[in-house]
Amino acid sequence: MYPRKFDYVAPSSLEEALAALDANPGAKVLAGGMSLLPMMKLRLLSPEMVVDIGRIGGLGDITDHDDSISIGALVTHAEVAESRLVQAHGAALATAASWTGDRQVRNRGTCCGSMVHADVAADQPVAALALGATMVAASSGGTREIAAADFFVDTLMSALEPNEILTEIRIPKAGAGTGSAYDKLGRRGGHTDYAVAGVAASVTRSNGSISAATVAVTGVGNKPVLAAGVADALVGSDGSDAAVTAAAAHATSDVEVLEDLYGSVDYKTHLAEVFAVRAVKAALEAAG
Amino acid sequence: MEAHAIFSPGNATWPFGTHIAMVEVDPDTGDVKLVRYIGMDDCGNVISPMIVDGQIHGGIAQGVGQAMFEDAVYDMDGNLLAGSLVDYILPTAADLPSFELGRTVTPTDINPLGVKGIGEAGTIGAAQTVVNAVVDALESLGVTHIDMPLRPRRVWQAIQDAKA
Repeated sequence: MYPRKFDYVAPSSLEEALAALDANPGAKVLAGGMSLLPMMKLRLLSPEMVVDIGRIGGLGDITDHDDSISIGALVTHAEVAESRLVQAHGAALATAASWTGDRQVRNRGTCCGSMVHADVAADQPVAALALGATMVAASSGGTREIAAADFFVDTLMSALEPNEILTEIRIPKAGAGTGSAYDKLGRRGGHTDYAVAGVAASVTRSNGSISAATVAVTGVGNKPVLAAGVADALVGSDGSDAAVTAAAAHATSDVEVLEDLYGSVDYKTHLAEVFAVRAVKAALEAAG
Repeated sequence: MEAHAIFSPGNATWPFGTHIAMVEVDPDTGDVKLVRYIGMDDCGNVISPMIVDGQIHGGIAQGVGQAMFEDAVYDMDGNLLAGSLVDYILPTAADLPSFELGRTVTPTDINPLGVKGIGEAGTIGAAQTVVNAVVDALESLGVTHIDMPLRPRRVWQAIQDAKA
């Protein structure tokens, strides 16, 4: 299918791009285009203008700050997956990026784009939740920071305003004893394709017990969500297999599980628990 | 100048073969991984081995698609839910192992070339080969039958039903 007619601009600065969004309510931002363009071709979306940010300098870097790393708006899934920095401080996100789409999509699609698209079964948003990431949104009025926990609002809906661009994702650096992991079942089996269910976990061990934990679930409801019940049950425990299994039973306590083509409510609930166990165990192993 | 000739063989040809699949099943999720696929086929004399192997490759991929992926799901109002290739899953090269093929050559005397059909051999063999491998893997859990396609939710449900 062909998209409906649309205007296209490719500004060379962020200011021009933001001005274009102000001047054209309903315009959409194009980075990798791996979700936007198929939606336009299927006419699920028909923006009157597309603002291509691909020629704006300074948005394509993964940057090492003192207490965080930042991933720019044009950084691809493949670059996130292969980044030593992301692997060190946000292994769950590196893994999620490595399982996003297929090789062609990973070489064009962007990490920030995946966040903004906010698919209910996407891999990377749930990793951003578990890692306590911060979304940096720019508009002509300035920038604001949005916690990942507040960013995913509903199906295909983020907290980003129509005149804002997600310029950066900040991930706090992992301290000693902290590890993260992501695991899922993909719609094509194994880790391939969108998640039927997936869980990302970040845990910190100190003095033989778990001192901090964040766990989040994707694929089972209307958006990626924090599984506070799992995290609460983990904190203070010894991280034994029995403790992890008991905690994982809360995987879907904070989400309404929805049936879809890929599974019933019972099946998805069960999968969330299975992958909560696997992700938390892998995160504990990474925590050392 | 025109010339017409009609060759009408006295019978159909009868290619045959044996296909073997090795699968891994995760009983906690119902996920099926096709680890190895071995196809031995006999289409009589082979004139172009590359074309014959290509026919078998494509046929096995189609059969694996039927066995594991392709699911035309409708809702109660008759709407096709798997209406695009996002939801109607076709196997791609990345979803399949490298096929291991071999052949025996038993020429037919029904035609002068001694050749037999090969276009459908992969498809005919693959679907039940994969399903039988999965059922065999789950035999110890009491599973004796699973309807195609072997979506993880169905495999998991078959395990739950066998336990009950």
